[in-house]
Amino acid sequence: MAYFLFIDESGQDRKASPYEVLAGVTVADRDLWNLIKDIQDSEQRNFGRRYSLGPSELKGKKLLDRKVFRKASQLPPIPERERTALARSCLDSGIAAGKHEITALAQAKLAYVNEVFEICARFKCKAFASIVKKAAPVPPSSENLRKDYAYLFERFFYFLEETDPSASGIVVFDELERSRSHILVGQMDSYFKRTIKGRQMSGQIIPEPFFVHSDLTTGIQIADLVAYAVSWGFRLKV
Amino acid sequence: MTEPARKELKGIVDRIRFMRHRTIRDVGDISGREIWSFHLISDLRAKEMQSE
Repeated sequence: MAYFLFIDESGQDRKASPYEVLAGVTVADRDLWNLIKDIQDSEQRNFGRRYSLGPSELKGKKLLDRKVFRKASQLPPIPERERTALARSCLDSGIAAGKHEITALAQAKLAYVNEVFEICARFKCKAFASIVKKAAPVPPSSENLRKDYAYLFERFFYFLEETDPSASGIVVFDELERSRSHILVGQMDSYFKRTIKGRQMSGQIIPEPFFVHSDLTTGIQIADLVAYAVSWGFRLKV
Repeated sequence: MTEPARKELKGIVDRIRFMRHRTIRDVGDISGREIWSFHLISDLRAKEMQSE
């Protein structure tokens, strides 16, 4: 038995986003394929085709941008069947689309995101997030793992330990530049070998991560949605 | 967290809030501390560097 932790980030440029967020979503290995199939079905049902075939990616920025909400509310809710046909027409026709098609596509995007999280809840997925203030001082680059990563792994470990002490945790990252990937792999290796906490956690978390293409990997797309929504909409009362 | 939140995201954020993991741990001298899977970080530096 194993749990995947899909990880993505939002606001790392520290420009427009209110907070820098490193987010993760867990899913049990036995549930992963069924989760992927249900999300693909939702994509097909809402957009009338796979939105993510071709150059378009199902990213938080594209699905949950302010403009999407504005466009979705410029007309009353469109019945699902009609909305799907119009959304598909909008995707197929691009800039030639009219107001009805644009509204339908925006409404379809919001319906899809809501369904994604309904599906996640059904499969008992858990969400994790390190939320970093924009003004947070950053340590000079070193071989030490950054605190936001260390905290995220610690919380993942707590989850694994409580859910199934014999389960392994598999960490999956969105692909980074090759040099950044090397640095991160080195930092994780060092953290999980040389710190007491890291050594304890390596009993369950496999310290060498996988790197995947976000546009091909549903789990990373969910983590991206979480990271975006947390940065722009989640606030802790502290 | 003082940055304004986008209100229109509330429905989606509420779904994500429900996906958080909560545990109770003994941390140092504090027993039974509630730890959530979402946490805020004000300084990314290690403790020994923060006074510099």
